[in-house]
Amino acid sequence: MLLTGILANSQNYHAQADTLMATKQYEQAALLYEKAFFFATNYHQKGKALYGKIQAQKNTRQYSAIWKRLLTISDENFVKNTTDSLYFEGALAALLANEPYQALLFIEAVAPNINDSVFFIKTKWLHLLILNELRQWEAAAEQLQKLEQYLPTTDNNEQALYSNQPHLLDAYKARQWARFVPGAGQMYAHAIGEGMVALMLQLGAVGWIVFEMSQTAFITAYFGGVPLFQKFYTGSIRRSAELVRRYNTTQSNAYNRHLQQKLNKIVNDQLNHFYNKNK
Amino acid sequence: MTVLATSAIAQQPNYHFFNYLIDIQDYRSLQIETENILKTTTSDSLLFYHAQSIDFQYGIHQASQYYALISNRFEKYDSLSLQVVHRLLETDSVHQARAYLQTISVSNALLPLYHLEQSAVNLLIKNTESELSAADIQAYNQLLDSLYQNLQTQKLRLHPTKSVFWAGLFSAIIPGSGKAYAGKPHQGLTNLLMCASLAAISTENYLKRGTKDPRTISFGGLFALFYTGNIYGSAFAAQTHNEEKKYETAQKIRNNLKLAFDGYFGK
Repeated sequence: MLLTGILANSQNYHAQADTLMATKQYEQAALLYEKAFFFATNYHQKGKALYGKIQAQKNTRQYSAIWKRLLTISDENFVKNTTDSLYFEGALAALLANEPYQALLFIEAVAPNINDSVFFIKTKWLHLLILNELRQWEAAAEQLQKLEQYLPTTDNNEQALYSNQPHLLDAYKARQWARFVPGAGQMYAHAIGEGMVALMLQLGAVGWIVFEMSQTAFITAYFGGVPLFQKFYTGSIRRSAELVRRYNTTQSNAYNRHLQQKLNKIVNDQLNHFYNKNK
Repeated sequence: MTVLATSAIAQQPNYHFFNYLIDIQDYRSLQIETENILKTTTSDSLLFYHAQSIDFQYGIHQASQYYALISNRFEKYDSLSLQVVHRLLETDSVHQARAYLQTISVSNALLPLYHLEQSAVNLLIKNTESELSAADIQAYNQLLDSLYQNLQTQKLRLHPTKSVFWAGLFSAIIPGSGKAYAGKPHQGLTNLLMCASLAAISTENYLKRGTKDPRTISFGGLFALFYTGNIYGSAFAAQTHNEEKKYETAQKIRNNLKLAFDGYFGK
């Protein structure tokens, strides 16, 4: 019994898990870290074990498993620094799992008054990436201002980063344009050629109806021309909204890629600056 | 010595830890842990937790082979076995459910459920492979009456199958009538109106512009296409109708089983 008590303890499992991590047996390591967490007698051990498990799961790209696991720790009384590190990892995992709203909840749960400058910069960097992903660029610009006080070599480039935000289109406006001017919805969504084709098709259908009526072929005009026009008209409205959605996605993704490259460079430069200073 | 002792302790199942892993929904770790222990020792409880870890991750279809390894000495064996069959039936794994049902035995208290499952499995297989007869349906309804009078079970009804041939023929005579025969009167009416419109346009063009006019040819062609398409569509609708009725019957059988399970084990 005594032997069991001594050996089945958190530190023992933690040590075994570390060995497995070194030999790249990440799933087994994750299990042993979880065991270390389960048998831990204090929150220091628990925090270390959970952090180890996250690193193991990151290696097997189980990002959803990481953030879902971290949702269960709200009742734990970890010390502030541990909670912050875990929430940071949760935000990163949620972002990588393509859950930016969840990532935002995690990053906003990280305490605002962080003493560690490097961790503060990393947290703000992740916060910016999440806000960019959510297209909340105004909020991101505010966060960047908070970060700038920690960037001693700041030039004015950072402030200009959010100055040329893409102009996103409104799907409602596109539908309204398409409703009242045939083809204008597509043109509003920057698809000029498609808009012209839609305009020609709808005018053609109306022209055909008029022509058939002038020939007193009323049945052909009503049962042939009207349904054809209706299809082109309603299809054009739906298509306008879809084109706006695609346009917005393309513009946002391109802008976010540009922002990410710039932010990565800024943050890496500053982190290198800190490390070199402390050498 | 220490290494040996450590590894011996590591191989002991800790059921509190298993339950904890289920609580935090880390089923992958539970699977690895139970697999590790099963390499050196086995027990029904251990197999149960292993099957659960597979069940939560991959579903009952994959997990049933592990549930099948649990012996009848396990505390919850008969209720667990019946639940496995029930869930296999819910996921439409009927043949797997039948094979599983043949290997289990249950206590007297659970015999009504066992009989209902047996009857459900047989009916579902027959419903998939051929047609249920009036005698099959009567026998099943009688079983429901004798076992579960107090539950609001759904009685099965005999659905006459719709003939694909007749549906096609009806539509050839009056467009859309085949669809109405196949249980889709609204679609039948729409098809009738479409056919009538195209016929009217073709006739108008023929009368005003003659046979050789491209508009007469185009609309005549469209009418012919729509007319023949409608015949094919009606035959297809009859086939779909038969499949829908089979599905409806299968759903009733599954729902009755679910009601019986909820009544016995609670929701």
